[in-house]
Amino acid sequence: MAINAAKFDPTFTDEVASKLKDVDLKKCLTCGMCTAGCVYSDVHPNNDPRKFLRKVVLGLRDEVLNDPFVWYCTMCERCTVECPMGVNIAALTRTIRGQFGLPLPGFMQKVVDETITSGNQMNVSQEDYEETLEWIEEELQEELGDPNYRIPIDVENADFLFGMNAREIKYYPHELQEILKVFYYAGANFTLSSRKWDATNLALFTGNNHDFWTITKPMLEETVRLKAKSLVVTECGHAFRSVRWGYKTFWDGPEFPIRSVVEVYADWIKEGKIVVDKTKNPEPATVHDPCNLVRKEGVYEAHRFVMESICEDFRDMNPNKKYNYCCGAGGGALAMPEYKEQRIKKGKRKAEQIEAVGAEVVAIPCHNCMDQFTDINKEYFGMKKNMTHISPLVANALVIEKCAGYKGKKEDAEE
Amino acid sequence: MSTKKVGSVLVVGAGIAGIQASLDLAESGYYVHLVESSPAIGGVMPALDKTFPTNDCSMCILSPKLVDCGRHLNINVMTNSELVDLKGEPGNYKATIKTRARYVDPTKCTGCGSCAEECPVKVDDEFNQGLSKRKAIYKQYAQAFPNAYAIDKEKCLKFKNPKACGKCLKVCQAGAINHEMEDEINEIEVGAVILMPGFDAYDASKLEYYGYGRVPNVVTSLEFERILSASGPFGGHLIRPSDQKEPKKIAWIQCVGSRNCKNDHGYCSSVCCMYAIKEAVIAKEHSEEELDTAIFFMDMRTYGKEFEKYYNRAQDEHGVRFIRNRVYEVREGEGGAVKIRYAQEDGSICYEEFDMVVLSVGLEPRGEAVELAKKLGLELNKYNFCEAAPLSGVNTNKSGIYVAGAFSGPRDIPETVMQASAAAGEAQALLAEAKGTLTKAKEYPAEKDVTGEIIRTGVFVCHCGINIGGVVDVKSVVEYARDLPGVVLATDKMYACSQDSAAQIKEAIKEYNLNRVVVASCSPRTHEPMFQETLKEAGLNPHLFELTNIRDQCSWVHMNEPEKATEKAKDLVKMAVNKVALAQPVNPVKLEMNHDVLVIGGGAAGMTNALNLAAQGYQVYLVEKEEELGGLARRLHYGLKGEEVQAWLKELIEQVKANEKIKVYTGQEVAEVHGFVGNFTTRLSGGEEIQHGVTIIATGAEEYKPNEYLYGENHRVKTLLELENEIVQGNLDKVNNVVLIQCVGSRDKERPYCSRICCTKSIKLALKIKERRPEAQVYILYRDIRTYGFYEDLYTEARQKGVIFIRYSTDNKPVVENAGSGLKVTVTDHVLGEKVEIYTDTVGLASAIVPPVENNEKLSKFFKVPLNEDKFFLEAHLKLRPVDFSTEGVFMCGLAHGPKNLEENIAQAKAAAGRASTVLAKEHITVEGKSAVVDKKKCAACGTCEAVCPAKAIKVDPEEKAAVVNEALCKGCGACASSCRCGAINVKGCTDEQIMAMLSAL
Repeated sequence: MAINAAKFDPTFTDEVASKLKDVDLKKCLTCGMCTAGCVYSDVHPNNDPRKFLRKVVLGLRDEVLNDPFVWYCTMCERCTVECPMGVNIAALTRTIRGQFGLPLPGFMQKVVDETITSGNQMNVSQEDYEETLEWIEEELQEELGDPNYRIPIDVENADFLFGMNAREIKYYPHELQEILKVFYYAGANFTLSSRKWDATNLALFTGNNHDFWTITKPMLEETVRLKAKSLVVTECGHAFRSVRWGYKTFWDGPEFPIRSVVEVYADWIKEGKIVVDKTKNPEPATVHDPCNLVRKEGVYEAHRFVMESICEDFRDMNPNKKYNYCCGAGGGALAMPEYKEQRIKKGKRKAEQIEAVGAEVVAIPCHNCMDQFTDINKEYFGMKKNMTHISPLVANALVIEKCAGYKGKKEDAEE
Repeated sequence: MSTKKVGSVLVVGAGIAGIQASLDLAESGYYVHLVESSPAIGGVMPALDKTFPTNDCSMCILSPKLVDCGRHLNINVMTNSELVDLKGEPGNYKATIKTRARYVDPTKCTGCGSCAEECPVKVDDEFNQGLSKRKAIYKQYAQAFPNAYAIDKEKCLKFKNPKACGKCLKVCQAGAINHEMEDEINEIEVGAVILMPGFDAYDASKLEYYGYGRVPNVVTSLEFERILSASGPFGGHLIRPSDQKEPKKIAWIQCVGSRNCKNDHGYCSSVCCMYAIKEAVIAKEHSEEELDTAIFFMDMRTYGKEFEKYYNRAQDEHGVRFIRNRVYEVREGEGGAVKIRYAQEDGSICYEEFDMVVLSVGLEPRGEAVELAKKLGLELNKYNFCEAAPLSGVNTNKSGIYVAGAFSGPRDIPETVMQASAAAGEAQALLAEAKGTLTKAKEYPAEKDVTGEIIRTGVFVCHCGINIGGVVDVKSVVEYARDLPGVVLATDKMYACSQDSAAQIKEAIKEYNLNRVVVASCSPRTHEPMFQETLKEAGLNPHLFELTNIRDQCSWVHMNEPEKATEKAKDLVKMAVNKVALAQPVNPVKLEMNHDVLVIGGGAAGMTNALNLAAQGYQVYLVEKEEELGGLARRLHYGLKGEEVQAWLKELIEQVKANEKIKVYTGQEVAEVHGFVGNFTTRLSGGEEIQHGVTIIATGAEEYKPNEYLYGENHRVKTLLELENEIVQGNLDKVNNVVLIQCVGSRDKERPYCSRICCTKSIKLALKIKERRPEAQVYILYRDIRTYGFYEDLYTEARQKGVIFIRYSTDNKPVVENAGSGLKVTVTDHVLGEKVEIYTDTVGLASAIVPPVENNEKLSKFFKVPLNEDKFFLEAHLKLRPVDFSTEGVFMCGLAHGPKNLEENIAQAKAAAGRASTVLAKEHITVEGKSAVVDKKKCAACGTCEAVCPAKAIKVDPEEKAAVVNEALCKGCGACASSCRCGAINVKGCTDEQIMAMLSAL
């Protein structure tokens, strides 16, 4: 069926362009660099960024709004990070998703709505939050041998406010315990918040800017309220990206730095605040570059440095850093179960990369990617790989006696 | 102006542009100061291997010009130098030149190279793009002028510690080295300044994703030129630098640092498509085994003269693969392989491994040049190029300062040369009153009379680096020559054409009292005049000389059979020795020179040319076949850079009409032509006879009248020029849809050339339509968008403004049909792969630029100048003589030469003026004198010779009953001699006797 050019609607193209602000998608040369750059353009149909962009440029409104690409795209930004015309497919996808009244697939909007009401994406109640922290605190008193240990909450003037992913409270308190243990041995001057502690924001992927800012603004405000010198975000790519992007795009409050916890770990190792022994993690290990942490926010070296310091046999996947492969579940794919088939197919690329370096341990500084890696482990490795965050590996490698926050053994303290 | 004008010109930059402009000026009566920042003249050309589209060896075609320029009496070459300050006004400037110490006195240095052999410091050789090493004391390249070494102060040990080293001092026999030399500041007076500082190649390591510097076996195109070059680091052996392996598969990636808005290089670098194709073709030739080559590109921009055919041949005959995809990244594979994942046009993905990847790096302005331009108050464009003022070709915002070559925009060698001559033309016009005030004339020693002398022949056999020496056993050829009859000296030369070799040959002529000279090297076409000059300087008649070509005819064609090649070289040398023994002095014939000019064609090019020559003080006759002046430009309105063409044209016509030195004939054509350079007689169709010394052909071209896409059947289908008129008339102000179709009548079987301007023109018109009616949808259906140079910005702007570009292929062309009162155009979208139907009010056809065939053929015969296959006029050399003909005294410019836009036509018109004045400046015409000679006793006056002579130089005199030769007209081609049944005709320098002697050598 031929397309009647009367369908070409330049007002649609202009509408999209105006919502994108900086990005002039009309400059597209149709050179195909994006098609070649998207590693998923050949793993399943309808995943060609050039074709999608072409429809936008031609003003084919219906074809664009009904294109499954809108949901397939993981918004990883690899395809256009070097676009010679400065087009940004990730931004385009987000705009189409959120600003043209499209119904959102899966439970994406549900999560957003719940985050708005409860303040966190897991719908954790205040009571549960406080109880979980109390429980972790007790566990840590035991583990650290420090009965006076307290998790700092709402402490003003700390070096940083720690922003979390609600999953750490709801499903992975042990991991949070590991993180807090590292903080303890580093002698960190930090605080948690009692009010706004979840830094995640799925509206980053739905494209609804109102929702987005409703969720992220309080996290930034909380940093100001507690007079923290900076905001540090846990191992979660999109949480990090959300606060950074919100800060860059909408924030007009006081200035403060926003950093990833992996950057803080790297500093501590360099400064000798924590001392690590890499022989404690002897297996071949690699690290994944979450798009939201690495390509989009430019954290290239910190997690590598940490991994090289704490693992005896660190191997880098190729390509990496700015040109890394997305895990295949970016853009909120995990909240869209109807596209699981495509998501799993995409995971194959990552599996191939892991296979190529021969890593047994894969460190993933991102909660979202982690779920995809777990599926990759199931699908392609028979669950034989150890998929982990970086914090547990750091905690495992600690030579606690040499760490800045070490206060002597329990027995010594008692005597 | 009150101050007197100065008859000299400052030329900044001694690449091919600087050399050409200097030669043009020096040959037409102006003294030239040629300032070059590096230690040698030549620029980029010496580093290139072959040149497109002729596949000439770059160094070989440049070398004669280097030598001419280097030893020209009226060119003061200042190397290691830069212009640091300029004061004064047009016609009279004081320029301050800073010359950095060379630490080697070029007047003493013989270029022997002993110093470099001894020097212990190895440095990356910039000339070889860092692929090999040079020493801290070095010569840029073998044939460099001045043929003198220079010391790299930063690297020399002696500068770090005066007590260290000094080895070079010990071995230098000439005593040329002096570490105490100091920088110098000189002030010179000049009347005009021409800037041609050239370009820098884009730094490929800035595009991390192409792996340059990180992935082994990714090289830049300039590195690849050196790899291919016989004088390069691998002696022309095609290997990859990382492991010296011969590649079997090479990819080129286009637009590296071009057409990239993200890194502020939004323009097209104009030359990369062609050089990549050339490199692929030459690489295939160099490779012993089958070589697979693939070029990754976006739009193939082979828009220049003969380029499209070169592209077609690369594809059809050489099997170069062309893949339309901008490569995303290259990755390191196993065993040094380079992996590329790319998208095909339909979106499908391919993976391929190559042994080597060449990055086609773009051109950018040089930092120092930008600084200089700013200091001089010159306006730069947003990319920091010194773009010429609109419709001027070479002018800057400061009168008296001109710009040419790649500094005014990325361009290839022919256009650079053209602009150089144009800038020379402008300077000549500005300084006409001071012409000849500062130049000196060359004086030769009295010619030695060799009559009756015993033959004493000197034979010089050239290695040409490894060009000859790599195949032919030069030493054994020398040994062989030593025993040939009459030979008193036989020796070899590394580069016979270098400055020091010339000096040595002169010395040998004196020392051995030589009266005949044979050089066995390369082509007489490029090198004979140079060697003959050497003979003249040594007091020998230049015709006591033979040049035999053991490069093209031995080492090149028999490169795989070195022994046979050597044998053949010996035979050729023996033939030359036999021939030269019979050579007799030939003396030039001096004739009167008419200094008037006939310009044929009163369009933009012809008028611009006429005005320049008139400003130089020459009488011009301008003939236009139409009743009005203006030519095709009368139909143009919107200049590509926004100029008001009609207003400009009106003023131009007024200037021409008001100029006392220009006599205009309209409604007339050339009816008959007699004569030759300096002495033409042309009769016009109106009957008037014009005597003139020089002819300029500026006869223009026409717009093709299509017979496709319903043109002529439906009035809504128009050509671009018709469409332009409709826009001007306001007839498209209410239009909803306009479709422009590219390549109508171009790039097809019948006309296999690209019409060059239609893409840019179409985009300009599309923008005009959008400007007047923003809601109109404009579609441009194209094959490759060829908006080279800064015209790329127009393409970008058009996309931004919503013009829709759809690419079609030749096997699926757009279809135009009548649809009700309008038209329906069907085309397949190149990205979606789906048919699109556009219902439209107007279709514009980018129809070809076609030559007026009949007229061109007529003039071709009149002036004995050739046409190419497409029936445009064919220049003497596509690369280095773009406005000259082989026929002396005849030049061309404008569309007669081939499709180009108004700006380029203007530049070319000025170039033709710049070139013409090298002839017009001569007091007399001197003809070489190698003419035919008739033995009247043998002549039967049969008239065969008269019938065959293409130069009309021989006639049977009924009174003498014998043929008589007009020596001034005779080209010495020998057609008469070989057709003379009585054997009455011989050609000086190529007698029957000589030919027999050559044959007997075999």
